[in-house]
Amino acid sequence: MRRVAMVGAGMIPFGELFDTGMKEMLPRTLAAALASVDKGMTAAELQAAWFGNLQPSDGFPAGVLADSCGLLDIPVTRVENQCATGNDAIRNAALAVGSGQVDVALAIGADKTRETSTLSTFWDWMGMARDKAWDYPLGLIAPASFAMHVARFMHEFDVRPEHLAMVAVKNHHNAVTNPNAHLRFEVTVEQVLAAPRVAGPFGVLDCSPQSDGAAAVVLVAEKFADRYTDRPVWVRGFGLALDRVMHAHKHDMTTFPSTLRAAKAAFAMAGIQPSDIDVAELHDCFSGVELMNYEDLGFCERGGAAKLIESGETAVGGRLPVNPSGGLKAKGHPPGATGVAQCVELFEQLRGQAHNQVDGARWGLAQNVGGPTAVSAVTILEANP
Amino acid sequence: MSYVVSLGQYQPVWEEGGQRVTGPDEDLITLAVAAGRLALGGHNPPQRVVLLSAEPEYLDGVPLPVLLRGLDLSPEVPAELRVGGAPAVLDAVASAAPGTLVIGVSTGRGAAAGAALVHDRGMLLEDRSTVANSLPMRVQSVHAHQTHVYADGRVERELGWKPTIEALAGGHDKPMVVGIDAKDAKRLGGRIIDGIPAGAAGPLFALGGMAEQLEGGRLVAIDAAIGAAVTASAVGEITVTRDVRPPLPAAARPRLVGAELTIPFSMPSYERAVVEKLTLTAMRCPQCGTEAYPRRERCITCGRMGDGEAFRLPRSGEIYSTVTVYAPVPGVPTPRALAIVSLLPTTVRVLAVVTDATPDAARIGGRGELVLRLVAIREGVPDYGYAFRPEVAA
Repeated sequence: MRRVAMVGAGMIPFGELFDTGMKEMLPRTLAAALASVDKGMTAAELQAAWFGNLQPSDGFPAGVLADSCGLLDIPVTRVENQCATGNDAIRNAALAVGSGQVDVALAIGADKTRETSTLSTFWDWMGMARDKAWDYPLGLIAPASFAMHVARFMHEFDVRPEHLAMVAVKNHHNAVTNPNAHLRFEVTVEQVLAAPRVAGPFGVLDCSPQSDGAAAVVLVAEKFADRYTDRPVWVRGFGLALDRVMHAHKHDMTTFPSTLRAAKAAFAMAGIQPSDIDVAELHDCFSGVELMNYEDLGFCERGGAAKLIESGETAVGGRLPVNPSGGLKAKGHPPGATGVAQCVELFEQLRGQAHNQVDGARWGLAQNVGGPTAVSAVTILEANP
Repeated sequence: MSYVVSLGQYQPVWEEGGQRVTGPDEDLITLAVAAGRLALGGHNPPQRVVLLSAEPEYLDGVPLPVLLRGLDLSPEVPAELRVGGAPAVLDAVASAAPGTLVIGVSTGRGAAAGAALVHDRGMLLEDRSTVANSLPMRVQSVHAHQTHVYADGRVERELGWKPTIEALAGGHDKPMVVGIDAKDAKRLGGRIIDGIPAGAAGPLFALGGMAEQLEGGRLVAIDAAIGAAVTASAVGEITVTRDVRPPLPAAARPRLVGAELTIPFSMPSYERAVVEKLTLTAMRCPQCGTEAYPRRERCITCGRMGDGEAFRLPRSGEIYSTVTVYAPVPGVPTPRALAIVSLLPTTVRVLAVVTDATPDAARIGGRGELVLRLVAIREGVPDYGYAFRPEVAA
């Protein structure tokens, strides 16, 4: 496979974008990504696009992207893989560039979760993620679905509510300086613990917000990279993996097997170890999920997540900063855009331009786990030497 | 004349103003199944099922097939729904052929279900008599959402209850009176047993009480000016199985918050799953023994295709993980817990709503049983399935 360079990455600020429709979000995001290309790029140079979008808004997703961005002359494919959608869009674009069929590819992700009423969003999403006859009528909403894992995880490994709260505190802190973050305010452990309850161990402040947003990256073949930049970021590994769909069929709920599988593939492809990672953007849709991800990705041993968050090693300035962007928790979580936005953050980190810069970061990792906790994506990026 | 060999009695756990009331996942069918299963325990399957209620929520479509499946009976067993209260239930028991399961349910205040298995031995019911005079004190039209009540208790007592009891006492000085509130029965000179609910289940609770106290006598069931009576005598052995838990305050019941949003429904999807769901039937791969619930077209261990050996899952289990959902969910009463339950000794786990418990009552490792409940109403169609009922300390 040809080496794949990321030469541009941009996003629009996540939030409740009531005044912005999909048809405005997409051109603005594409413009932001193209503007980040050091030596310039126009939309006409794109040869193919992959559009990560969970819930269509304003109609036929691929068509809306092509129409609103003037991409009528190139193939556009919509990617839907639950919360792994964004990183899967990048994986598809990277495969196309790597194969030699495409030299310049766009991976863009967008969702407008605030386009439906807060309450109906639960059922809309569950309809896409749950078995219609068996699990759907039980009302296993997303926070409950993840809480079922985290409750068992806390039970087996002596993880306390305070440990969950520490994740929220850290990620909120990181978002304060991020102009693209949805929730730019600090919270305290006490506030998180005292927040209204949502499901199981999660209170409101343990949950990511429902955000609108979009993000995009531009991937090019190695031989054309220097036409666009002298400082590309390299797509070095990716993995996408699935797991049992029904919660009753998940043998050990203290781990996400799809993350184990996706990470194994991505690390093998990159030829590195978990200990090589300098900065990571992980799926913290709910606070405790970030802790489980530490273990699944090999950032600590089994049962070591509570100690790792306590140690401060995953804060900016620590050994392995996690979610310097604020994460899903505070930056926001429009699912189609989430994974792409993680890579936007890593692109900036690996070029030394990030708002919460991790000094000398060389290897970055992005990870999602989602749907009925049954799909994960991992992307590994490397700075230009 | 008939014999009753077994009685089952069930009341919801929720209580309001001293009266049991149904939970959000209970209705005529789930109450009937709860009492019916208790009566059937250890006996041969009945040849006929008669379900009686004065308040049937559904007249057509759903109830009887779900009732039969919930009772672990063949769908070919004849089953009928009759509209009637306490007198109709007592008359049905007294006139039924051996092999009939009679279930009486009331779903309003004082919700209760009783079931009697009529047999060729057991408690003898004889000297059956009935009265049916027209005194329409309560009129429930299928076109109206409420019952029209002629609000005059004295009229009901003087024109309904009193003459009906007199007509049915059959020379007995102090008959047991059911179907109305115990204090009214007492005022009318009737004998009562504590804890007998008014309404359709009353006669079956009263027969159980008489059997437990080893007494016979005249039992009169009344509803306005309608009545039925039998003379009971404890000739043979009868088992009485009661499932009435210590009460929980009805105010703690999960309830619908906010928008009443319907949960989308697919009839073919319902139909494909309904038998497995209602009968807790799982599948075992004949090649490698891997268990699957629901069934799988392809065995996840060995890849074998097609149907395997069906087997019934145990109804008791242990919680693997559980969370209480506090957030309002449209169409779903909250707060309430969900649990993933291991049905040991099988390898099967199920996801179920935790029922008959206050929030946060369920714990990892806690034990309980699966009970048939109304899981959801989807586009108007009641969707039945199993809920998890945690054990309570004895």
